[in-house]
Amino acid sequence: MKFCTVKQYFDDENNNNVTNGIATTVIPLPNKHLKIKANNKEMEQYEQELLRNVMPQELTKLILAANYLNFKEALDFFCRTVANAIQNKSVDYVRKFFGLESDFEPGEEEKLCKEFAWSFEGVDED
Amino acid sequence: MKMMMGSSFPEEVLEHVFSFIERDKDRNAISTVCQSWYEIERWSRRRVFVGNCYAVSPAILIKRFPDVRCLELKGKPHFADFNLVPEGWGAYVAPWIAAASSAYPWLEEIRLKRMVIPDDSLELISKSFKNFKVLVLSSCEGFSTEGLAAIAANCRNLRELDLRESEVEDLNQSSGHWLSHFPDNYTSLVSLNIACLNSEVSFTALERLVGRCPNLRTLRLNRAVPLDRLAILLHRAPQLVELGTGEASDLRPDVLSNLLGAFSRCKELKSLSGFWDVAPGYLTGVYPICPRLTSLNLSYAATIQSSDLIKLVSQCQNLQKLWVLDYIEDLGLEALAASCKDLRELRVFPSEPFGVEPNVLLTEQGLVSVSEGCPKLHSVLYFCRQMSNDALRTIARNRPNMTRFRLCIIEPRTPDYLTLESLDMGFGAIVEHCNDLRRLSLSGLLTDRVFEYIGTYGKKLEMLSVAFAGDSDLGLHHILSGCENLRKLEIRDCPFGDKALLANAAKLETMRSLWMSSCSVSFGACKLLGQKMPMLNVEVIDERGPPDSRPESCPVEKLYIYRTVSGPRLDMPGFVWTKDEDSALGLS
Repeated sequence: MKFCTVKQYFDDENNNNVTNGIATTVIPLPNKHLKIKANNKEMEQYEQELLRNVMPQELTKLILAANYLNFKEALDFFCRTVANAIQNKSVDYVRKFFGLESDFEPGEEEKLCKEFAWSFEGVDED
Repeated sequence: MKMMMGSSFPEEVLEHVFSFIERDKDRNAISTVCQSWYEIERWSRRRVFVGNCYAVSPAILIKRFPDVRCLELKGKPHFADFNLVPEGWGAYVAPWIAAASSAYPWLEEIRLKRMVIPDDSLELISKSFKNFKVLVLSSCEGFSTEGLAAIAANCRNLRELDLRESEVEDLNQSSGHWLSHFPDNYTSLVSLNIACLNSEVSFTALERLVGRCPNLRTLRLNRAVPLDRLAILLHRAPQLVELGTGEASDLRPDVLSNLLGAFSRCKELKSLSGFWDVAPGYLTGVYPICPRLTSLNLSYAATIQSSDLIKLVSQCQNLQKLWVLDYIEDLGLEALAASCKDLRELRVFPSEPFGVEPNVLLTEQGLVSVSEGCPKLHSVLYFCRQMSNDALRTIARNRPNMTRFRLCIIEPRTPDYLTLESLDMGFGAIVEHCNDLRRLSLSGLLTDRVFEYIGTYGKKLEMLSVAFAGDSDLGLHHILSGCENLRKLEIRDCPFGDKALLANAAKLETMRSLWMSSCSVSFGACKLLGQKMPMLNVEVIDERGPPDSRPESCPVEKLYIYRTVSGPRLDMPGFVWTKDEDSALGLS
């Protein structure tokens, strides 16, 4: 299916969704992914490299491109990379990472944290 | 690094990112980023863990998370395992199952611990969730084989049925036939644990079930399945990874050779348990698979003595987890330390916990040996009769990677047997050196000092068990004011009273629960605490009648305090008292 979408893209000259540069990065990705699929360590390194070297705005565009082009492997990879980057981080970090601001009413966020967060947090085996 | 994405991500992409985020803590964090993330997260959360079933209500859960697929609930406090929680206290799961049956038609997994689940609920589960896959009932009660029959008959997609340590009633004589309620075309079983069943199961039904489920990985049988039948089952399921045998008391050479043959075909077998009353001669049947074993549970093998245990563990070079009786003795633990370099978890249970004199040669030395020889050891449960500060210091220095340390010196208030001092320094060394310690159980002679150490060093401690320890309220105060990550605290027979409790009331709101029994807390303090802290349920368990009928200073029998968003529970039995009760209303 992904090749159909790509073909459609190249046929459709009015398409602004995916710039050339992004397509150049995204389309070869499955090959790289397949090549190093067997080796988790290398994958992790590639992921780190990607996060370090690719400008945040570019990563955004990569994800959107992968989504539009329906590249499942690419989308999985990028989303997983982003998910790993925000694991075990504070809410503030996550907000900064995505360039978002809280739009909760004053006190609402605190209420959420207090009332709901801990009802559903695990401890240990006993 | 910053990203300037904000609103440019379509919802399905965010959902995709969230699908890789599984830990509760992380999901809770992303849900508070902003309102739209809160909405996306709550609709996409599939796995929920409720550590105290009374901390939240089914209605609140369903309102927040409309599409849960995996639900885990815990009920009674841990000390229920030691019979400290009276019958009828609570932890009824029926209201949860009833609510889930209409709200979560796609529910796949239910895991319960220390809860009461009636047959009706089991039947409701079997009929409400078309895609139901996993049922784990850990230390549960209230159901019978009738309920199990309903699960077997109706859950076409069941993969896992695990009854670990639950109490299952047998209502009629043909109870073993609940297994035959699995339809002939049912083949999806992956894991079956019926080790706790006291009654017999129909062996024919079991054999046919095992034979037609090619994905069966885990089979934990109950006592009643004799060893001579085991070989038959193993021939049907050579792909097994985890096996629990039944009893094996009669040593017969033909059975042994059949067993050897069957075991030799089980190339994937990594975990063994069961062995009730096993005749030592049968252990030779296990030798061929020892090198592959990563997990061994011999805590029911009351007939195996030290020399046989030594021969056995010496061949298990890949062992990661060992549960064993103290028949292993110091010598056996030395052999373990020498042979099992990959050991991560050790539990040594007492063979005669109520005996006055030691019946085995197991001392602190055994644990010291293992701490020296096993670099990956991080989880310990150890019952013994003597301990010294020296030994504890050595263990602490050897194993700074310890995360769970539960020491049970059988006789309360036993001092360091070498110096006759308290064991404060020894446990102090444990908390000081083991910086990742999350779970700790204390025993032996202990003063307020040990709690000072714990409060100072136990910064990652999440759960603490204390018995027959301390001198005064200061002890409790040290714990509550020092242990920043404390979630569960359970205390029995300690001279802790009102002062420390009331002074640290706010701390209790940051914890899941606090249990105190046979301490010095007054009903007056309990009422006050309940009034001051509306987010806490302060429940007094006292079977001596209304607390008001005794002087306010008279200590309560038992006390269970837990934080909640759903207010006082509505299913309290007559012997549970809160700030709202008085003598007239207290009777139910």
